[in-house]
Amino acid sequence: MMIWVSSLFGLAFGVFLGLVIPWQIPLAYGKYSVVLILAVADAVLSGIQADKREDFSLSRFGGGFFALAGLGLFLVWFGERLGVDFFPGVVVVFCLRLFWRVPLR
Amino acid sequence: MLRVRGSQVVLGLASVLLGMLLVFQYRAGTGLRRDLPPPDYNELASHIERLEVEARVRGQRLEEEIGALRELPGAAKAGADYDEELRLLRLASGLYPLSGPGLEIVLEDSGGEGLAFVDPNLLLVHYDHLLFLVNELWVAGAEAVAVNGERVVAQTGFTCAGPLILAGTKRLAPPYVIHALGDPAALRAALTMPGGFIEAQIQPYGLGLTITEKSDLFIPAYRGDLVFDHARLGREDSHTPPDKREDACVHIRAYAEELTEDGRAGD
Repeated sequence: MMIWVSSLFGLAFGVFLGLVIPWQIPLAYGKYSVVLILAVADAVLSGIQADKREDFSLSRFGGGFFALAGLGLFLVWFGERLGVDFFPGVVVVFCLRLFWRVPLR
Repeated sequence: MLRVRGSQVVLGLASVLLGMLLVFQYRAGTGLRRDLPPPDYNELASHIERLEVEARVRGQRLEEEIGALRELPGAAKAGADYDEELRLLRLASGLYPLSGPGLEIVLEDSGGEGLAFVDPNLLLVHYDHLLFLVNELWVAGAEAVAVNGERVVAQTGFTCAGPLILAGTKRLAPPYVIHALGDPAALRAALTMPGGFIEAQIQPYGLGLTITEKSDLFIPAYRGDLVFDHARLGREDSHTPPDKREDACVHIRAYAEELTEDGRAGD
């Protein structure tokens, strides 16, 4: 239960910080920021799940997050270089991961 | 119960990042939507149509107004005056191609081989030859001058550019053909005046010079730039006090009188 509290509190604090800081993501980086947001959301949810199972490990959390976010960002960047838009695919995969984290029993 | 675990801290921090990113992204998205035109094309189309109709109606109304103003007494005369002024100014600034009677002067380097002790430079046509010739023509009452098809206007300067002569920015090569509009006989008389520029500076060096009177010459319009970056319109009386100008006139008048008196004394 506490993990939800800390996460939601962190989220609220982040929103507050974002509102205070007068910055917006430059248009050119819109795709990358979307991938980053999805990766962070995925990581947070996975962390919460792991915490509930009592086997949260910082190295796995961090490593998984950086690996996934890095792969997603790289695919989007590389797709732009190749002229093939990988962005929708990356978004779909991240969204699927998010949806599958919702426990349906 | 209030035992803070590492996972809580880490996930809390990650959530902070998530929240900030969400706000930044949201801001970018709304900013984008605000900057884009509304995607309602039908409404846009009808808006444009409405504006077009409005513009047409307004144009018609203005046309009618112009027509009504034209009907006013004196309107035609004022318009004609402006047209006449514009025509004169364009004539004066060389923006019209002109034709008429005039003089054709062809100037070439001296054909003969100079003597060993003669500076070969003296046997060539230099930019100052053209400069002085054109000047003589203006003084003699030429109304328009062109050198090798390049109209000479108030801003035209002749320069020496090594083997070439520049008229403004146009490169000239021999033979140099000067066309001048004006009374052919008067122009020729002024040029060939005894002791004049041609007799003193061109004929002694054997430069090739032919002067032909033409009944129908064509002089092209000035095609260069007319740049006035630094000059602004000024009022004459704001720079020269009226009494000063009066002074200058008095001086000139006195000088003229002096000259005539000297002339009389000499006789």
